[in-house]
Amino acid sequence: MRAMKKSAPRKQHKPRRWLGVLLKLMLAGAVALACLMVYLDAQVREKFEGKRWALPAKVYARPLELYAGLGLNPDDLRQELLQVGYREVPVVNEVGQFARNGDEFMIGRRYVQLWDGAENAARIEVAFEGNTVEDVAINGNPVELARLEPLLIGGIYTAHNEDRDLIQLKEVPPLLAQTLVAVEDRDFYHHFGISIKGISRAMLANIKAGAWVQGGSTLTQQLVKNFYLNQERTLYRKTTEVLMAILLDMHYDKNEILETYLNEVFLGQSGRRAIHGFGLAAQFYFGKHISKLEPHEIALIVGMVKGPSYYNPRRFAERALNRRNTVLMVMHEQGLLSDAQYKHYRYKTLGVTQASDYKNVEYPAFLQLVQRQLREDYNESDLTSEGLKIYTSLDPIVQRHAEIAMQNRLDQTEREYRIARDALEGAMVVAATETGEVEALIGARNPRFFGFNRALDANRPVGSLAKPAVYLAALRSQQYTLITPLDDAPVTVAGRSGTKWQPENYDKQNHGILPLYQAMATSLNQATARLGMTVGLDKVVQTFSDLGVQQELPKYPSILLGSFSLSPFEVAEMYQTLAASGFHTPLKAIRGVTTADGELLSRYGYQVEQSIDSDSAYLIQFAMQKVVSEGTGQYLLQRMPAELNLAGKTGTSDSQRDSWFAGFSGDKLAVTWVGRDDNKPMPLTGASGALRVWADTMAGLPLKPLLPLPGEGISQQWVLPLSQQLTDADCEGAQLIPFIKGSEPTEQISCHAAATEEHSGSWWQSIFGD
Amino acid sequence: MRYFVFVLLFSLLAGCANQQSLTFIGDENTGEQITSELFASLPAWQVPGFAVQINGGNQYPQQGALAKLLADADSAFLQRRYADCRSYLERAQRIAPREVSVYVRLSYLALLFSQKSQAQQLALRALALSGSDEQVRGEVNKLIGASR
Repeated sequence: MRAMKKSAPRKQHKPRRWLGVLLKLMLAGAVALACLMVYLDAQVREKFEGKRWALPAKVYARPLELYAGLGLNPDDLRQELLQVGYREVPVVNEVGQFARNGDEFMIGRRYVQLWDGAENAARIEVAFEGNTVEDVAINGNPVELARLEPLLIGGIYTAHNEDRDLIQLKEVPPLLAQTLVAVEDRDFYHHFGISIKGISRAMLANIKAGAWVQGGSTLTQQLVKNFYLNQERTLYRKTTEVLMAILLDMHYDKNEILETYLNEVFLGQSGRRAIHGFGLAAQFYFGKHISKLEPHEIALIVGMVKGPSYYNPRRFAERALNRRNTVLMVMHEQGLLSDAQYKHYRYKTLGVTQASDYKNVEYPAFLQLVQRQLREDYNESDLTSEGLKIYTSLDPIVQRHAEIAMQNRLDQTEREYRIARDALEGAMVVAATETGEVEALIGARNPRFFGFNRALDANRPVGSLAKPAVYLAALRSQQYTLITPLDDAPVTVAGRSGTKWQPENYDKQNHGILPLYQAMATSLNQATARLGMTVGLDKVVQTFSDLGVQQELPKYPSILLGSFSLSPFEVAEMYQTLAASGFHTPLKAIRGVTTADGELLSRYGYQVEQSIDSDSAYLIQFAMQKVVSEGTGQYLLQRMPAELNLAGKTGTSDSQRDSWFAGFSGDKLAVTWVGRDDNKPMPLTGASGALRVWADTMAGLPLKPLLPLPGEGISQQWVLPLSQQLTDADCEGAQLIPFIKGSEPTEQISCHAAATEEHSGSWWQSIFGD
Repeated sequence: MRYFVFVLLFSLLAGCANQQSLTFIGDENTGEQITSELFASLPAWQVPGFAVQINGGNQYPQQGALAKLLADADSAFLQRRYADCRSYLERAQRIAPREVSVYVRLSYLALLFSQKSQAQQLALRALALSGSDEQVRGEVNKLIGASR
């Protein structure tokens, strides 16, 4: 009994002890849960009440300015409108549409905010005469000029590449919000963040199917998952999601949660750019503001929430159409659409903007340039989070021509010269000659490639592209004129360490005596080396510097023939000075930066500095025009009108590892490079490689002729170049050559005497003796 | 001690604020610094036919996009909306990059904001585009003289 008495309490205490342990555990659990709730509550509130999203900077191309007299191919205008997201329709009824009737366009321009002002929504009419704009009218009234909406060419994103256009709930059509609630979460306005009914319904469906076929998440839970958590399917994540949804619902108004959801939800992918929020999705798929969406368009993007990639209307049109019609049916069932409306919208096409080859593409090489120039003034975090708007000078038309030219010409060259496929690479810079604004940039043969940017970072020997600086140094010294005779005989330059430099011409021939401009036009190495050594390396190096070459060049004789390396962009900086008659302007890609609200932060205006006197610049431009009309650039005359008076210079580095051409018209400068990443030799010169890419690009663009204006210090004279004598315009062999006043030949010769002397060869003796 | 802590905290907060804020350049109107004597010595910004005179009277279009932009620039200038004026001139420069009148006006603007070196370079650019037109060169040389 005693034993029983002793053992009885033991039996009675055991459950009580367990109960105690359980109570303690529950208490600890409650404390842990409370701690977790406090922690989650802090998280929920901190992010929701702070800055909710990092908004990437948006980068825009130049706004196309239309005016009578503008050279523009109507097909290029159509292409640009499609790229910007305008819809081609038979008759324009609203903004964001355009109609083309032969050479006449009607454009429903959207409101455009730019860094230097805004352009109102308007109906713009443009009439062409061939490839020239003839008339422009706004809302039926003739105007001098009209600006179009610029193309969005990319963004500066955080690591996730998220992009969105923030919207407020008041901008959202009520039908969209109602449809979203009807399709995704009918109890949204009644539950407390989670829906027991919804979870039960989903569980039943999943049990029935024996698989995960339905989620019971409310809109609040979906928001929590996307906004705070990740996509992993673990019990901890799901529990956290539920708790945070309850907390979110407790703290915030339903409409605020809905607005955040509308801005957060993922709705598609465009390259590396993730499309988030209904605001951006409306622009991305329909090219219109969210407030302008029609019921069938609302049905499509609401339907896409279920699977943006799976229901991508541009890739899977039929699947997307079925999904849209399902949503339309729900809208009808819920009383959001009448019978008549349901029947009407059910038979509408998807209506997404056309996806042409060039739609929504990015320009990685140009974007890299923009980012580098922006980093001088902005922090990286400002660029990826403040929603800045960056307005640039990129001309999508020029860029497209350059990209096509580069790809097609390299394909063709590899076939013609039996070079391994895809062995050649290329880079190109196109800029406006006077303003220095970069209009196109190619950093790789594949222009969509985000990686090594050859235009900015590939430093390659420039070869004969260096020659204009050597001849310019000579002309600046005023010891030389364009017809000063140069000797293209073999030359040897002894180095300090006993080495000898003996440059040869490309054709291994000696070309004797010839006038200075001709030596440059035909790119003779021996004559150039002799000239450079006579003028002096100091003066040549100073001229490179004055032209805008920033690196300090070594004073070695081989620099005269371009043994040093520059990137295509640096070459373009140098040639811009030549193209702008001696006025150097740093090449720039940005025009202005504003805040997300359009307030101007910075503008990048025109800066200029004269570094070469105008008269010498005029002479060197003349010599560079001779490169095209008589020298190594003559191929351009087969492709483009002689009246353009193009100027340029070919360049080929040692062993033909680099093929270059730099040239300009009256308004555009372009530098092209073709070579191999492994630096192996190619069977190409500047003329057979890079020059062809240049010609293919420029032949498709309306160019202005190069008509250099001689200043007061220039006199034009008819001369016989080799004999350095003044003569009459109608004499055989007479050429009109510019001189800096005071440097003209003084001796005059008649046509008759000139003919006699030519036969006797006495001019040679008069200069060089017997 | 309390005062010291307050100053320290305030400095820290101010430092944080500076790090996060973006710089606005705002309106340029506040930068006008030209003296009235210097301004009086220059060719007037806008007199009837000025643009025609400055380009020798034979190339400057009386109507069209360039004329409109120059007229807008002149109007903005007279209303002291210098940022707008510069924008119109830069648009004009893109349309007609060899137009002397554009560079003359840009040079004026630079001078107005005491950017003498840039004003001189812009005037030199105008001079190089003037060719041998004596009348134009004379006008432009006044600007070059003023910007020295």
